Amino acid sequence: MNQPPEESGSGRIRYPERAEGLAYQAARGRPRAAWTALVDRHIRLLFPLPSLLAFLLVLGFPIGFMLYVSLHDWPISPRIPSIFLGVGNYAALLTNPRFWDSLWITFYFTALAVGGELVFGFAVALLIHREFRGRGLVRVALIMPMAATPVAMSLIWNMMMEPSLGMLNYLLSFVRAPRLLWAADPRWAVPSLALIDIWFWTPFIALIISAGLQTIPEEIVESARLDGATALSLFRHITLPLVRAHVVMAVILRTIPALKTFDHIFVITGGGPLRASETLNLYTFLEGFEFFHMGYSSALALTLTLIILVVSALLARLRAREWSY
Amino acid sequence: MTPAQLRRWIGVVLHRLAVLLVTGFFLLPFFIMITNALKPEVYINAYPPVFIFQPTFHHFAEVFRRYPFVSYMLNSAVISGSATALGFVIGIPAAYAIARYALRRLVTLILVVRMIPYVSLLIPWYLMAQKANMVDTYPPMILTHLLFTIPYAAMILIGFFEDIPMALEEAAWIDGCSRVEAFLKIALPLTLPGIVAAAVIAFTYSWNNFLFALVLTGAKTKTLPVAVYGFLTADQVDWGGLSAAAALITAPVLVFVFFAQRYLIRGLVAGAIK
Repeated sequence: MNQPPEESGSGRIRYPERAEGLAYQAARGRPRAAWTALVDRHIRLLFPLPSLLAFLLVLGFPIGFMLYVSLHDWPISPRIPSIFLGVGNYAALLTNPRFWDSLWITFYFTALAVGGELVFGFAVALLIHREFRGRGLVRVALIMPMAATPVAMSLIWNMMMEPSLGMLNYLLSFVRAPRLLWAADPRWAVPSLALIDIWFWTPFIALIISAGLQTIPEEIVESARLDGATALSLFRHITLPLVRAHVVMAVILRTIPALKTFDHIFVITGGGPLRASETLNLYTFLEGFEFFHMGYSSALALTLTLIILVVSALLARLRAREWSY
Repeated sequence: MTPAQLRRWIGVVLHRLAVLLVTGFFLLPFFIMITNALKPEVYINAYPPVFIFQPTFHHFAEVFRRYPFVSYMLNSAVISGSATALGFVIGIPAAYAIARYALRRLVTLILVVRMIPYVSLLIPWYLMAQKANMVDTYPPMILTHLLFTIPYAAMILIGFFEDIPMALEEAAWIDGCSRVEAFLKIALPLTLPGIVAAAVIAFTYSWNNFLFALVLTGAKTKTLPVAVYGFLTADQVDWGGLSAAAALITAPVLVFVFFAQRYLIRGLVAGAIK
């Protein structure tokens, strides 16, 4: 191997220079290629380069192409020529009540789902914060909905929500509640889908908040208890402020995916009944792949992307404010 | 028993009861899936539901007999495997560069990539695949899945690379390694556990992905999520077969994730905590 570091006069260890290492290697008969040195100098650029090129190919170019398509009446068959419309598709969608309905349904679904997940998730986090036998197993049970294939689990939920034979109405019959039509009822379609979303993603919020709870120093809680704080005031004045950052982050991380929810809505209602659960995502898909209005659907898709980027930017600002406090 | 002890005891009982209820809620669909998959046909539509029966593997056998289920599994495995491998070859150097040079703008770019709704990429990808005569082939599917395998590789592994002391690589440079060699021989082996965990998570998300497969695959390349969705659209819904198929798709993912559970949250949250 290389020479050991030598003691220099000042008593500090002098490490051999890189050049010495190179000289050593050269002496062993392994000359360095010039291109290796070149690569070494530009690692900062060369290592991220493949990912930048990949993003350009899978994302950048398609988005640009979609922008072009959105300015046309673009049929799905390549043999029929497209017609240039300018901003016609955008004007059409802004005056289409179906667009505004779907926008409202998107936000309604997101509010119900994320709101439910936050409240329920906080409760679950508090439950598993306490020490008890089998806590590890409960954590595994919490991971399962997040990892299971969404389409498969949506089909199972569809089976459970079946009005006459399904498990949910059977369970409701024990508390003498009336039978529900669940997702088949226009009024209940979005809440039913939100319930499924709550099943999928409550554990995510619960585990983030649970991580937050673990950062609260034990002494603070103890001293508050000694000062006679009740469980409620302990929660309000100690727990809540100290996990606030985690809560905000969990909400941000769920809100954006909730706005783009597709799998279980498509599988269970397909946007129905009577378009009651037709979110912007579903509407975009149906326009493109049911009605084959590629141009109009592209305009919708870009609008959806824009809405999500704006919401993300707003949420990021909210988070920046939380962080500084 | 003193009143204080009694209160404590009631508190413990209520807590365990609540834990049981919550766990039951999250496990209920899995329970329904497994019982329906094993139920003899006569009990499938029984109301009230029957939970005591002689289990049968009839539905599993039927799934394999009536559908080319093995080829669906192969399609899923090839697409997810390739997308994960390619995504990691591309994503790992990016993660390393971010960890060593604090490339904030690249991180932001990756976060934006994760935000884009996939529905909006369906149309350009479908039209491009159509133009290239590549609908119902593997390459478009693998390429679209890079949209999440690269970000997963990069975001999860940044932390792992940051944990490796720079001094280790510096020592390798001094011994005459080039920077690339130091990366390959020092940093990469040390992050191997992280790479495996991240790969499991990325593979899972690719395996579970439905949207791109719905549009870009056909008879030859159909993946499992699309295949199981086909059970629903058939005229007569076969609940037993559907449950068996759902169990078959979900099982490998759940086994994988059981081993990677420690990293799952880290993967989902990656990039947000800083």
